Amino acid sequence: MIVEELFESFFLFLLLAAVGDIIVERSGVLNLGIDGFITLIFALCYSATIAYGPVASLALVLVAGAIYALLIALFVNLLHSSHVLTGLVTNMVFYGLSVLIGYWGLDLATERGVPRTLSISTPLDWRTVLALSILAVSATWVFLYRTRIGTAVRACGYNPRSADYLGVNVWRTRLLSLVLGYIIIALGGYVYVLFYSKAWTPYIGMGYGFLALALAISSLWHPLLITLPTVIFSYLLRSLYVYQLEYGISQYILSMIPYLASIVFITAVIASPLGKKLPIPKALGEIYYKEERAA
Amino acid sequence: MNKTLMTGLLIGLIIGVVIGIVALYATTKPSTTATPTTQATATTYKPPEKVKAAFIYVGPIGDLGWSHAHEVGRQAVQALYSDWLETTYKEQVSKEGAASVIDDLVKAGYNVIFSTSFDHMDPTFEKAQQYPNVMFFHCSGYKRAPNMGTYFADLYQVYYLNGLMAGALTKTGKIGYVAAFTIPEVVRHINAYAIGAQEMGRLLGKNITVYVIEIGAWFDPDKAKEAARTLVEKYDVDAIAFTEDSSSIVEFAQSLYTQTGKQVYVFSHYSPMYSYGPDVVVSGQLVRWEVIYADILAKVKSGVYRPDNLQNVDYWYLLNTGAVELGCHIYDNGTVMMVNPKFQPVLKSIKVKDPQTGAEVSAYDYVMNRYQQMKEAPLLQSLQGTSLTHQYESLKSVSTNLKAIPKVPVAPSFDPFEGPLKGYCLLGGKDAYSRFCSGKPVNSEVVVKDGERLTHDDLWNMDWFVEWVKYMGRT
Amino acid sequence: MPKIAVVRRDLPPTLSAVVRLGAALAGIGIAILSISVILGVDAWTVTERVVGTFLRPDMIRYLIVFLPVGLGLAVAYHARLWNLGAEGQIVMGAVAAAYVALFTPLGEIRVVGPLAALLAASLAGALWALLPGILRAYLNVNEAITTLMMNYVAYSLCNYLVYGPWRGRRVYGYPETDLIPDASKLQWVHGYSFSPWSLVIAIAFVPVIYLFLYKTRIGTALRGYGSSPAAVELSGISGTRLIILAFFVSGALAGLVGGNEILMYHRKLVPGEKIGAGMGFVSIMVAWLADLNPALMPLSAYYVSALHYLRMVMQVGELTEPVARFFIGLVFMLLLVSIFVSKYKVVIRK
Repeated sequence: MIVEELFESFFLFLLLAAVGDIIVERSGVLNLGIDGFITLIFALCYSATIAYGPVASLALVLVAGAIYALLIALFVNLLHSSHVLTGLVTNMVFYGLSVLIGYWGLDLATERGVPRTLSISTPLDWRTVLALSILAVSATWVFLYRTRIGTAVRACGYNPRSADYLGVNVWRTRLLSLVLGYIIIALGGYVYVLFYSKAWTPYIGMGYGFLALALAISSLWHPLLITLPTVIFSYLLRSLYVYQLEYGISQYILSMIPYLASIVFITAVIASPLGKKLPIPKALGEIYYKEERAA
Repeated sequence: MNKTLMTGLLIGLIIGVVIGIVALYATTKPSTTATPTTQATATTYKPPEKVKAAFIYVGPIGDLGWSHAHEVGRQAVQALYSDWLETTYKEQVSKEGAASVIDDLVKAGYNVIFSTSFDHMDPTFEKAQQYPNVMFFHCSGYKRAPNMGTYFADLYQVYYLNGLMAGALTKTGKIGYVAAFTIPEVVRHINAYAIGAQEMGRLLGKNITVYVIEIGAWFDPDKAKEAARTLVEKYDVDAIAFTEDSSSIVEFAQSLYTQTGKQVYVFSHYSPMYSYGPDVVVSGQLVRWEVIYADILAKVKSGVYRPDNLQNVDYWYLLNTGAVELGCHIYDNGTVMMVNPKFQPVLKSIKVKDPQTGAEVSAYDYVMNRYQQMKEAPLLQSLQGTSLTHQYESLKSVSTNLKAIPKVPVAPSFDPFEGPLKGYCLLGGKDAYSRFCSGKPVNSEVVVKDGERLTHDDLWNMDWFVEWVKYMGRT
Repeated sequence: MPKIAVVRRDLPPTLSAVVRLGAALAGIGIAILSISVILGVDAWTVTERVVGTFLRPDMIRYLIVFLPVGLGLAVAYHARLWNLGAEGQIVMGAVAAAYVALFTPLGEIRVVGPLAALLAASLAGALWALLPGILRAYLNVNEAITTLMMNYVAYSLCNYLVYGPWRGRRVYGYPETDLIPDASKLQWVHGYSFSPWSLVIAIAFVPVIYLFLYKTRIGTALRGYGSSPAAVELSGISGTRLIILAFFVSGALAGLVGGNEILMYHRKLVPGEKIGAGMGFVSIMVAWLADLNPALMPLSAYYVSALHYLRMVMQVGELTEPVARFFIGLVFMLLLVSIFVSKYKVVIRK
């Protein structure tokens, strides 16, 4: 059935990662560090599940998300580092660290004589996935568009200086959205490991972060619009072989689509008169330096 | 910044670099021209006191997969020859780094270098020209030099045996294969697997089709899983073999079994993967690189292999050498689980008539008979070490003038690639490289005559699929 | 209540360089120390390995990549244009060079062949960078995003070619093209894996970019454009043109490197991920480490190349490749802190 095809655990992972990324980038933080984090969280989630079971693993993974957010915040807020460099450097560190953490879990599984494939007896059926994704998407929308903090987050991404004049604490708001965003991304990683891959191999996850980033852009950082590109692309990614077997379309051409789409969408929206009205985070990647007021 | 200082710095820097390059050139140039002649080496060559061997891996060692299997081989020979052998390894060496890693190893004094990925072939070949006194051995490639040999342990016979089991167990008659690339090696494995499945299927009155998906990566757990899922869900496949370096497909089948009770039979690839899917893994392919490494290193130590005579060294080790094995698990004492005990009763209960003997045997015994036939070929191993002797590998026997023993067997008495076989060309015209397909259009018919056995070259250049393999999309 | 505030300051360039250098050395020191304490690898072995790698010319093979790409990126970054697309520009340069060497008669001609291939490579890289450049210049589309995405498009495009129409006839079905003709190859220095000509070209760009940025009207305008675009526009130089020029130059240099990778190293076109191999991203660090100063770029390229090479060859015992990657990442993290120290200071007020 087609809904089962569409709303599947991989889709949920990708959606959560993209939604988390939206929350982070809405506050103006260019979130390149997401790729290293996803690689890390896959390893951590796998090892923690082997070591302490799925519930403790969930807690640990969420805490890790918050800590990672604090680390990014330390660099982009306090140390005024460029968002790009921060992302690249944290990626490098955590790609390496992820492998060490993953091996810890694999070794533990061998030591204890438990199967290396995680066995989760309850699969996520499409209704659950659909319900969870609607929940995630709508909650994010409510948060961003219907709460005071959400408005502050968007203001920081749009123009941090004027947000500051309006009494928003830019650093604190960016920290908050980083923590919130990374907790959601971590949750996505949890879904991927427990319900989709159920296993870990070195450097698995590299590249998915940038894919989530591309999806977020192609929806113009809008939490409701994100659903469409994610559904399409998660399906496309998982069915590349159907196209290959039946129509002989090169998977290399197909795999360009999300990246091209993100470029085309963002250009189209910015170029069209509509784009002037759509408040996308214009200050993305801007280091916010708070001038000292005369005192 | 001070302008004059800056300009001074710049000029100084450039002059320094230019002098450096000239100096480097001047010091290194003579050594290229003063390459010792082969005769000089032959008379003065002394085997190394201590062999220092380095292994270059393309992936992480991990605990299964391609690089791990080579690492097992390294550790085995290290322990075996600890008196005179010193080894090291470098993992995660990608194509763009291979040459400079070799530079580093040569400078550290390693005199035998094994590079274990196709990605390393071109850099290794070029480095072999640069370092005429170092011996290089490359796994899986086709380029050789006086100081560069090649080696490979091939699994096609094992895939055939896996195919027999798949053919016996399948209920839908639809069999799947997830391929990394459709290079000759993998095409050969797919064909062998398909031949086995069809052979058994015909005896049981099943109509066998083999569906192939190419994922374009040696290692990509997610793509492999999605390909397997596509095969199961879209093409009703219930037995899968694969060439991909992770245990992802086994895990997919195992979780399908635990969650929905659907049984998909899987054949573990390369590493023992039984522990990842005890309810779904039937059997699989295993490899023992140490068999080849022990041979090469002993010959290096004893001076049989020298940096000037490796041009024809080309290992092509099959089931008869023990370098490959049928199985999916290795017990702690080193013995092999050839067939998962869970599936042994089923295979033993299926009865078929062996066309070779006419006797009725169980599918299990059928597989074991074939295994035994391919395992026994006393003369073969001597032919499998050099490129010159590969041409004799497909001879079934040679004659003597003696009445008591008129024929001496050479190749195993059974080989899956023996006619009659029909297939179709994957490539055509100038792109094709086999004698069956070169110069002909794509999809031309391939006919292997009754009783004709494919030679080493035919196997090595395989660019056609047997008829019942379905492979539509060419990427 | 004491209040902590971060205040901008400008350290003199020399002092700033000293801080950066100090961080670079300290980072390596800390890495060596923690490796030997945590993993129990003999500290002397690690030190010897690290110092050895820094002193040997082997890493020039990577310097040839990082130096020109870093120089090119510096041009864009001076104008505050976030070109993150060096990786893709390298790949497209490689595609163009492979095309010239393999499929045009030029590939068979000595000297002319490689020069034509490199020229085509620079052009391809420049054009690949031009698309995000134009989008930024005329439509103000965020260039960090578009350049990042173009990397993946370049990968796919290159892969499509090597898996499809360009797949070689003598590669037994592997996704590669055939080898380029000998006339187009740049030969290695004996015992190393780089060509002296590539090194000369790479070094030659140091003064060129330096003079361009600091001695020409356009270069000065470019540097000014980053901080105050309006002032530059007022002086009569078109900002749009400046943006396009910056992208063109940085793309051309990355493309040149990609072409060089084909002629000097791979000698055939291989899948995109294997050509770029993430080096386009590492080059971003090179540019910033040198504080975007072309004259200091050789130093930072040298440092990063050595670290990059170190990651591959350092492996001893427990010190596996991921561990090496982790520690090199930490060294870079420390460098980020040093950038902070040279630009800001923390003051505590009562």
